[in-house]
Amino acid sequence: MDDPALAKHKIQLTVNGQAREGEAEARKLLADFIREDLGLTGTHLGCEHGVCGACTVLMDGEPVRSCLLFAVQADGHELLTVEGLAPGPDQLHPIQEAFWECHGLQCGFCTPGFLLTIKAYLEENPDPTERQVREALAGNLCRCTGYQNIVKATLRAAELLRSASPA
Amino acid sequence: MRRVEDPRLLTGHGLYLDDLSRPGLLHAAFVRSPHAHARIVRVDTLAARGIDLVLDGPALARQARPFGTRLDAPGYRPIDRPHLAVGRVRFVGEPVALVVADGAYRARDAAELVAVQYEPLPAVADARSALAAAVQLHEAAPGNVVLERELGSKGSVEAAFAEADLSVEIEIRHPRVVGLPIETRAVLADFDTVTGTLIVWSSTQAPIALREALGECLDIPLERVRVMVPDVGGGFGLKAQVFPEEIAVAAAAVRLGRPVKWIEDRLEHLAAATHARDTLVRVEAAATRRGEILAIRADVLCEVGAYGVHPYGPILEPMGTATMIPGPYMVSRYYCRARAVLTNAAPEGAYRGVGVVVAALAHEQLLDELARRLRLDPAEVRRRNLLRRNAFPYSSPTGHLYDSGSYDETLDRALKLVDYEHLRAEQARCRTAGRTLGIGIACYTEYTGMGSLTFRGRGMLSVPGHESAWLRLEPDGRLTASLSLPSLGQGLSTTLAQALADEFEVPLDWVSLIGTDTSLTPVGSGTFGSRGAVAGAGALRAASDRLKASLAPLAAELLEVDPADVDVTGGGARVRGAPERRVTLAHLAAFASQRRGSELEVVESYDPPLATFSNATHVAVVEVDVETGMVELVRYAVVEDCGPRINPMIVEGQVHGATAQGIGGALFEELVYDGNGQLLTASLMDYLVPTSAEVPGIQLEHVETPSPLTVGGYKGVGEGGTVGATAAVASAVADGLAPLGAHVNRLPLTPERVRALIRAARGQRMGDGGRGWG
Repeated sequence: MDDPALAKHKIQLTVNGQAREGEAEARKLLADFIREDLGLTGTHLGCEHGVCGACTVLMDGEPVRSCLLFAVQADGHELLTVEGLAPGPDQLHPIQEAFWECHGLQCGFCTPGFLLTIKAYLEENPDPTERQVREALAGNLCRCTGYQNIVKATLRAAELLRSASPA
Repeated sequence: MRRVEDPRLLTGHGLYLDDLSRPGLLHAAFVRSPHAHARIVRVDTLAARGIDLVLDGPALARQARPFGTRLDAPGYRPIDRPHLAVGRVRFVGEPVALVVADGAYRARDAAELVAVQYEPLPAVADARSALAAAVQLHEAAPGNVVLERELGSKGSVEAAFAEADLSVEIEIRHPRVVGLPIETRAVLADFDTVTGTLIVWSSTQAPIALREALGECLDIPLERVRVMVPDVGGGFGLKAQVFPEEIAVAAAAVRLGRPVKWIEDRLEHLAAATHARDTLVRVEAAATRRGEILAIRADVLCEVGAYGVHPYGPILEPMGTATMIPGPYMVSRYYCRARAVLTNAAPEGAYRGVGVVVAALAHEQLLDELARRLRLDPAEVRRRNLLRRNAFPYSSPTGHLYDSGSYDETLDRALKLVDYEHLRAEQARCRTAGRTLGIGIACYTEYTGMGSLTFRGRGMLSVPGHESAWLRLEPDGRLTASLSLPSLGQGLSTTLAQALADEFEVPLDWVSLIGTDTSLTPVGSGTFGSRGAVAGAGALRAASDRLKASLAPLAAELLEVDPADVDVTGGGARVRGAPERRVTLAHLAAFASQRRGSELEVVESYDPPLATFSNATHVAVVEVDVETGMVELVRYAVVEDCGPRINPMIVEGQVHGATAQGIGGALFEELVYDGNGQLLTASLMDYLVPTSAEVPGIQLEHVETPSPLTVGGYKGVGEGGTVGATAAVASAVADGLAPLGAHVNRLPLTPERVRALIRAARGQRMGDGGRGWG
């Protein structure tokens, strides 16, 4: 292949605690790399222009829109996707548990992005008010729930996480 | 009751369309028109040589027939749509060619290599230029009018107006909006060349209609067309259509004998999936001095875009609005002219609350205007006109049969919930302090759970209207079912599993529902129009009754009694009057497996009634910043009545989500085309949907008035929130602005538009026509 744009670049990274590697064209989006090359289809694409937040993953602990990054930019970094959130098979993370309990999801397509946004947010602000949660989640779009139970689930998750690790 | 589907979806193990793959998978991309209206001079695919497949309109037309939408509605002029444009494009985003390549990125690359030469034509950008008819979009629709229909008696309405104490008039426009599920449209088609079988997975609400359209368009016998529905990432009516893209992708798979996947991107979705609303309504009421409405006269003008949609045609929005403007009120005389005009814009289709959203917006604006004129409280004017509990069954002036309802009760409860008197006092206090509070009340009723009679009545002959369930007693005594109603994410899998578990009185984990797969699932219509719970529960009741009837003789034999003395219930069967004498479903299944001819697998269908009517009252409280035009929702309350609730948590989720979409249409969402038919809102930076920061907490209470017509008395709930919220928020803003002399006449009420209304009102009062007032 003569076209340098189509040349493959080697990418080494840590995904959900495991060392992974792959190859991708320079133009390949991180979201597509996660889904196609790493086989982790829990990360969803809702707009591919950085607005809806469905493709949010954590890179080195920070929420990023994987549709706005190229895969090569994740080289050497650490990713957490929705598949890595629960502590083990048949177990749920407290945020997932809270979403289940509070009916915080309907179609589930935007949910992985919310879960990871909320994880990073609650680490920063473990005891938020409802208004703070509403502002913190305003970068993620959900079309099913009217956000009512997402907000409720976030507050519930904060409660579960606080009781799991008392300050 | 927690949802059964959630653990999978929460851990990233959902299986949506784009998560599916097949060996040898290819990807499709569409070449779309950049012009609103143009003649196609040439499609040059030479540069795309070496790509797996390039198909333009004429090439596809040789393989696939257009949709055979059967629509027999008075005043409708049938127009056709090619799956890929032939000779002419009629909206920005219309698919012109299909490109298939190895990988989604390569397909996009290849699409750019297709050179289409256009000769631009003048565009019909709005209703005014459509009706001026200087440009004709379809020969079959002279003057660009694709539907014109009159309802009711003009003469008797005019007589009422002549005799009435007073009349009031309002005009309101609802913007063009889009359903915008977070999962865009998506389809994967494969063709088994050995058996000649087409296998299609689609993110669809209407798998049966899709299967029939695939068979008909591609001339494949239906027994060799199989459609499956994976997890669906939201539908909201938008996916209740069969799309030309689905036919084109399937046609490519047939030609190539290989699997082909297409995932719509968001820009395509905004430009070329179906849009909705875009309706201008003028309504007048003749009334008594006490505020009792004697007659309503209405004019509905809907811009339906460039084509109809399959299987509904272009009539959903205008006819839904025209027939529901009388709403929950006692209106004995009604006349309406409804028109649908063609414009160079994306076709309009179903979207949550189709038709009824605009109808409720109109009737609630009208009631508010009547209240203002008579200096009556808006709640009081509603109370004087709402149909009372003893009015049912009520035959509306447009021929709808309202089966039951609790219109006055939901109004009273909602007012109590928000402490209405206190709110009005608070509003007055704010006003003296220079703050603008607005309170909006919306009462509505909507048709849900429609059956075949409704679709026949509308002339929609391509929509059967019934639903079916396949049900099997497994050898271990568990129950498995599959229904013609796919789940779209609203939780229908849980709702219907609960309905089935209730039929046999077994725990929820004793039943399982298999997603729609037409090789197993019997025929039906699909999940739309707030029909899922009503039609699904009905189909499961019918199938359960039949299975029970076949189990009763076996149970009787085991229990050594007459079959007539056996009840199949309580997780098995028992002797009537001696419930301790019982057998379990597992026992029955084991016994039956040794008997030839026992019917343990049944298919039954259910045809819902004409419709069953849900109702609700919404109350919205807004604060308007008159300097910036910003509208903030400070309070929101709903009291709804969808009859008995199978899963209260899921019902609440439906009301929440639908309400947010109504808030979107009232305050934020608008697809804007310029005078040349170019779409100006082609990204989510321009088309704004509500976020968690804009949607307030929603107080929600319920009234349960069972339908006398449906199984379980259930009524539909999926769409109502959107109907109530659009009207309530618009009323609230209008209520806040009224003392300033500003009149709301179109949505969405963006800061810019609110400022313009205030400026115009100030200008009028100052007599300078609004100039010079910032």
